Amino acid sequence: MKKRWLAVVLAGALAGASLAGCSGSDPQGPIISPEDPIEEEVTINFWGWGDLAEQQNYQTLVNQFMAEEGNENITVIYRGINSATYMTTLRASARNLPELFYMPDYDFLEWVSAGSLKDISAYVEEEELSQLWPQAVDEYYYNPDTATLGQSEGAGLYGLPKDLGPFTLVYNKSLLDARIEQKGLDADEIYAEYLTPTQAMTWEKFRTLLKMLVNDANNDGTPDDSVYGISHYEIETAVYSNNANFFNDDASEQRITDQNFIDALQFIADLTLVDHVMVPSALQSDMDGFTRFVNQQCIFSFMGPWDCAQFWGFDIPFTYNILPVPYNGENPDAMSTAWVGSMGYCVSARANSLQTAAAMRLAKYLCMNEDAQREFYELGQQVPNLVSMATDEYLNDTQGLLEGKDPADRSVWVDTINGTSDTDRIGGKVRPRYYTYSSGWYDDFLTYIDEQGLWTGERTAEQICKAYAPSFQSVLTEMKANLG
Amino acid sequence: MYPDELVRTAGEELPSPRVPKKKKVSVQERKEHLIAFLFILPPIVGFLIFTALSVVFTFVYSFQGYNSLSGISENVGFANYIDLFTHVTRAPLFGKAIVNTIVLLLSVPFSMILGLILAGLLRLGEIKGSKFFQVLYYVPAVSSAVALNIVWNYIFRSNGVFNTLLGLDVIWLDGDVTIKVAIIFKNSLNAMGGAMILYLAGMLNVPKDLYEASSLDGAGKVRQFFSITLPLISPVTFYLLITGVIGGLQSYADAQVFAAGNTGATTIVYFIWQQGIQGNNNQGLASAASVLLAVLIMIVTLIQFKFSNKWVYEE
Repeated sequence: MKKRWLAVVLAGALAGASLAGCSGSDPQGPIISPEDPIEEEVTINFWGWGDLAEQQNYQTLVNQFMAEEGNENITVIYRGINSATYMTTLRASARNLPELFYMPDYDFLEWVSAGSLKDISAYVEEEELSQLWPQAVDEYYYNPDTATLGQSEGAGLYGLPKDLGPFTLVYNKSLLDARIEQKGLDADEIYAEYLTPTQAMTWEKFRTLLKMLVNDANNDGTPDDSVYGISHYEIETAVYSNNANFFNDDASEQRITDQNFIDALQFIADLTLVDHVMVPSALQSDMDGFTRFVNQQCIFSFMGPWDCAQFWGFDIPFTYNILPVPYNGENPDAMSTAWVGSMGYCVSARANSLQTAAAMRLAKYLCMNEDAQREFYELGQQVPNLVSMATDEYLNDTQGLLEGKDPADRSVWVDTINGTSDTDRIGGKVRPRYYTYSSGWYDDFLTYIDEQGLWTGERTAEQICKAYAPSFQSVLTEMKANLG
Repeated sequence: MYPDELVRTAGEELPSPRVPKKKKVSVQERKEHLIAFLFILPPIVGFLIFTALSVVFTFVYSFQGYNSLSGISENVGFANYIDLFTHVTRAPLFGKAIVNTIVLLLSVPFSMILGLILAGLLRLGEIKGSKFFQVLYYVPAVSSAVALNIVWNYIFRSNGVFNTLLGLDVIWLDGDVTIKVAIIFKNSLNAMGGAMILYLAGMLNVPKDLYEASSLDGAGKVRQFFSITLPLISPVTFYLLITGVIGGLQSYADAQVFAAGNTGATTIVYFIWQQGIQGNNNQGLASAASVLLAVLIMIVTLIQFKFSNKWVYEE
């Protein structure tokens, strides 16, 4: 009797497992242009992330979208999810995705190669795309036949950019000015020499500036007033700004043993170990860089345009401004290169033709509509996607919506996205995780260099990178194999 | 034996065994049984779906390479189990998680000892307001593990209460060893209240006449404690040990909330979460780790039961 029961349970479980694997239907249907009137009633789900303020803002925009003429038959159910749990939630719903959802660039390849995202090429006109930052649009091209990213030729478009966010250097201007005065330094000289929005500092200059500003009389690495020079340093930024990378162009061969890569890591470690100007890694686990900066326990940190919403929301008691990230002046091929993050509006591959048309109408509204883009920059959430708006209205605040709001030099973000002339040598680059099948390797790398004592000086960057290279190479090979 | 069997002679036929007659179940009784069954049906269904079926699925998936995005699953044999011990990046993480989980179990005996001491003090009745202390020490047992871990995280920060009160300059949340010390310390304090209540209940059940008799024989309090109290409450100790070790092997919140992923405190369940849920899309590997964890828990529990007859008092 017991055996019979067991057999029934096992059979049920296996049947359930096989059914789960086979579930789903082919929702393909005739393409309905988003421009055509939608006569039937259609409901779509739209998932995004962000803090409460951002969620409320999105809900308002979604309501505005539904109220617009021609959208009467579209019902959008918006769900805002905390950014920390967003991808876990989305992954748990992978077999039953909402019709429209955010997709961070570093997870894009895994999802698009699994066939979870819909090719939306037929739903967008070239003319519409030409209004947007080209590098933002290019990120969402994928050729399933060759498994290549970022090139439009022969590829499908699998998302519209939500934003393009350069993560640049930020400084507490109030604190810096007070420190300049306290130390008897020449403010004009400091600003002209080090703090120019159109000319990035070299690593050497940056170290010199930080050492000038930090109060550490006995040079023991603990500032006398607990105010560090910089909260932390972005690894990708240092690597990119020394003309290095984690791997080659198609992410098949590791490059962490290249001298430029090693030098970039050692530069970061030395900010704590040699110069005593950066928060030691052990203390970074107490408080993240953003919080430390808001608490005025450091002069420099890093920020992206989306951080403005929080700064303005906090009503912080100091002024701040941004700068292009420093680069290695000793490397003639190096230039200031910040990482530029992006997120896409993607449509579920399972959405039917009517849902796809409605989802695309909403995606275009959020991505390209002037009012929506204006609302986003006014709320401090992003640099506008529309190039003309970003380079004029946003940059010069022609609408007067950013009056009195920091940072004053928003041009740094636009320059970082756009890339400036050879003389200024400022640019941006998508994060390396974008190019790989999965993004967990990056955390594994950080864990490894931390455990091996790079930040405490137990081992040098060279020793650590050379020791880790074979493991990293096998991870890259494995990820490449996953793409087929 | 029945008396008539004693006088039965050889060769005499044995009477056919008495088969109890099947009791007829009335319609009313059937109805009652049905209603009773319906009452227990929801938990049974819940158990089958969320526990039994999950166990079966986990076992099946541990032999599969499953892509949760595409839904494609393929048989990979023992590859996931082998990966746990040989993969270039996952094996070190899994090994570390095993070591961490085992080391962090040290909080189990510490919490039991602390609970026993507290129960002993309260039992002696020498502490005024003992009821208040019972409630106070028991509060962590009824509090959310996440909330507790957040509070402890603040306490153990470099500028937190712990360092400030003791005048220390230790970075508890970062080091490989210090984070373990902090977790063992906090878990010992968190669990001692629960242990105290159970020990106290156990002590109250020890017959008073044993103490009276031993007093007449000249035994002091200490002798009474070690010769009477401790052996007679050994079933409580056994229960605390079993549940503490099983709970410790399933620890997750410490690694996730308190240590915020610090590799010095990652546990087996945290590793499973990382691989299967967080974003690595390695459900097969996570399933294999889950199966191994279940086997480990079973073995440890069986060993504990096996040796329990040597030290656990049974009436």
